[in-house]
Amino acid sequence: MEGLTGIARAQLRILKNNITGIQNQPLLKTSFISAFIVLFWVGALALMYKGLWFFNKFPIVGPALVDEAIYLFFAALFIMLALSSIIICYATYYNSLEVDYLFSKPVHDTVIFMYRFFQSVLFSSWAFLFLGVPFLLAYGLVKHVPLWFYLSIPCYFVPFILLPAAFASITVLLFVKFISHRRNKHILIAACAMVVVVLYEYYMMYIRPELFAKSEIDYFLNDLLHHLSIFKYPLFPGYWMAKSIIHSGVNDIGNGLFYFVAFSLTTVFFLQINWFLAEKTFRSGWLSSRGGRAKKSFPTHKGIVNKIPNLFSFLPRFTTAMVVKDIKVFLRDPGQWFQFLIYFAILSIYILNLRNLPSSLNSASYDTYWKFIITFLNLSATALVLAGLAVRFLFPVMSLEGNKIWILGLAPIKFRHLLFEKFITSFVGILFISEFLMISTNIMLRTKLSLMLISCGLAALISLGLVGLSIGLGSIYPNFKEDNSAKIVSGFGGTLNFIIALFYVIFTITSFAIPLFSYEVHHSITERTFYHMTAICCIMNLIATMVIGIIPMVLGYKQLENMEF
Amino acid sequence: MIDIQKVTKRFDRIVAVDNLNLTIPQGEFFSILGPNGAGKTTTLKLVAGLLRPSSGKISVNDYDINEHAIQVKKLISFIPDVPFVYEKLSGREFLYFIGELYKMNRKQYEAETERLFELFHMKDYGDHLMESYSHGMKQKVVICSALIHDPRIILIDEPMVGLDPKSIRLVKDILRERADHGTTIFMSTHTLNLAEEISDRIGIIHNGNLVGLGTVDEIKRAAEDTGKFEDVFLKLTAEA
Repeated sequence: MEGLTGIARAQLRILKNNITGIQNQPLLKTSFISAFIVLFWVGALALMYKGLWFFNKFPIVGPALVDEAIYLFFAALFIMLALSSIIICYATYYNSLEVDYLFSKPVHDTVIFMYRFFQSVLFSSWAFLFLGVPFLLAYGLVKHVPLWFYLSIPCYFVPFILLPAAFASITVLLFVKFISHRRNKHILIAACAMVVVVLYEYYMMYIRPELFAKSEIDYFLNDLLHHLSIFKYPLFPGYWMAKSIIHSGVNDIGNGLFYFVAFSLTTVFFLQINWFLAEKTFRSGWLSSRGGRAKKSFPTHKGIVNKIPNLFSFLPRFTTAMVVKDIKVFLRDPGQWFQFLIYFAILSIYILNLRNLPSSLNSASYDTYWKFIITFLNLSATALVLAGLAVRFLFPVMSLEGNKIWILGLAPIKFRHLLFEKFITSFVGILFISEFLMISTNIMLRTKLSLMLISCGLAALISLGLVGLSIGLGSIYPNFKEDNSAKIVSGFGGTLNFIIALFYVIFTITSFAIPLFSYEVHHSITERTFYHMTAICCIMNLIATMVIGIIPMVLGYKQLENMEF
Repeated sequence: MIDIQKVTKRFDRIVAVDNLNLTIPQGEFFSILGPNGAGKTTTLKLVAGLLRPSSGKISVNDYDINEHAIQVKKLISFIPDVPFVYEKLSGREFLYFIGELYKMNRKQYEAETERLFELFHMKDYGDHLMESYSHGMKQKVVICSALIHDPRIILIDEPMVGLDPKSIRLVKDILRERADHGTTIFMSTHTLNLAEEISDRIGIIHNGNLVGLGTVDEIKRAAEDTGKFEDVFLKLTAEA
């Protein structure tokens, strides 16, 4: 492992310098942000506790539902971690000037690989630490687990972060070595997709019915448990972690330890495969990623994107030029659109699954309470997805101009035009997505037209606020030195954006939910009061949206205008 | 014309440019020389409007660069030492993008792109993404992008880095020809021979101060050294 110590020392020095940089920031700023982060964390804990407590209080099935939530949580996180790790591993291994530099030094391939692997683990897992800890604490509080459960939480994290990263790393190593630079790569990718579809169909036809038949609870919420059974497949690693936590929670140390060891040993096994493959393929894969790539031609007169200036000739030329440039850069960066596709794949699954949920939402068996609960939960889910999209894809928009920002700094344009262009194009995109989501999910849920219209209106309002917030904060805290958008988002500004977006979404939905529930469900207010409250809510939300959307944009504009290049 | 009056630029406690006074008339090829960290790039960036002076005033063709930033930007072009470009655009797309930013007529920038690519032997690579270009090819594209809108003032920071000898000759000829036709050229370089060969006047900057100004002969006379220009340069920039 010659060289690893040197790299580690350099990284520690960088970390130390970064901490010094934070210490040099104004105390008020760091205190404010720290307080915000703590507040968010406590808020997340409170929300998760409230949610699990809500499930737990259901007669008979309550505790089982909480356990189902654990299966769901770890399954979803495992899949998300694996997918995000694939993108990050690819960028970290093969799309980095630092790797090029390290390969020119007398450092062994495996040392470079190990360093980059752990770096990608850190990049992909920070959000998990942020959300995973409050979830497990909330679970512990609801289940009244023994004290040692809380102390063992850090032990769960290490293997749980490493295993999906190892899976992802192996996938990337094999992909780059055997597929990415071949002429028939599209056929191979299609074949892999076919295998995934066949495996899914096999699961649906043979494994899931068997799992469902074994379910202990077959008299209540059958539909729900039926759909969740996919996460209880015994060969799925997320299942072992969930099992270990569930057993540990009831002081069943033997079974808890068994599943934990099973998970940890699997992690070690896949890490070994990862090292083995790295030794055999990392350098050769890196070399093939650098050479032999056929230079593709991009004629300027072909393709729909090149027609945009003609189609939108009524817009200012700067706007269309920037839009064309941004679309081309986005489409030619697989890292960007692959993440976008993942978002949409998850959303599609969500929308399609809504078909199964309330087969008779409008029938007498579901009372008004549930109709409102499901509609607002759907609105919340959609708004949170929008917040995620805005933070992930809009916050880095300005930073991604990167070291090319001098081109715009030198051009005869004002930065307010640039900011406006980014805002408008992002808003059009987010509005389209949000309205599509609201209409499709409400159709799937068969909600009343009035509820659908309220949802659509709220989604439009939230989109406006979120876009202004993300573009504005992205301009206040730009990171022109980084070209990896995942890293840009994980910085200080991105975290702040995420926290504010979350509070904004919660505020908007709660403020409308209160009068609607009070009037329609609990009948605790008069019609007159309801209209008064709704009017006040509308004004409050318009003000909140203006504050959230406009203030960061104004501050971002000032920051850009005063920027030196 | 570029007019720099009593300009100082500080980065925290470091003074990069110290009370600089310099006037470069229209059509002059002016080169600024100096050791690393002397303040050459900072001076160029100040004139380009990419940095803001801590004190003093800069005007370009009688426009104050702070008060009339847009008018000034229309007049100037800047070629940085490191050619950062949109890697996911092709060279041709990049030049078209620049043409749109400067609101050029579409036919005009398309024709100018072809002419410049022909000149720089970039025609065969024009539709390839710039991520596949070498450093020199990117530098050529940046030079083309600086020339495409026919600027009245060209600011160049180390223009020859990464270029092959043929391209260096070409760039020298183009710049000289532009200067002869009234374009003001303000070039920063470490290459003394280059500055001697093509400049009308030279400025030598050291620790943010202009320690030499004039033609090569004038600088030699002022330094009371009639030897090689290299020796004069080393003498003027020697640390006390």
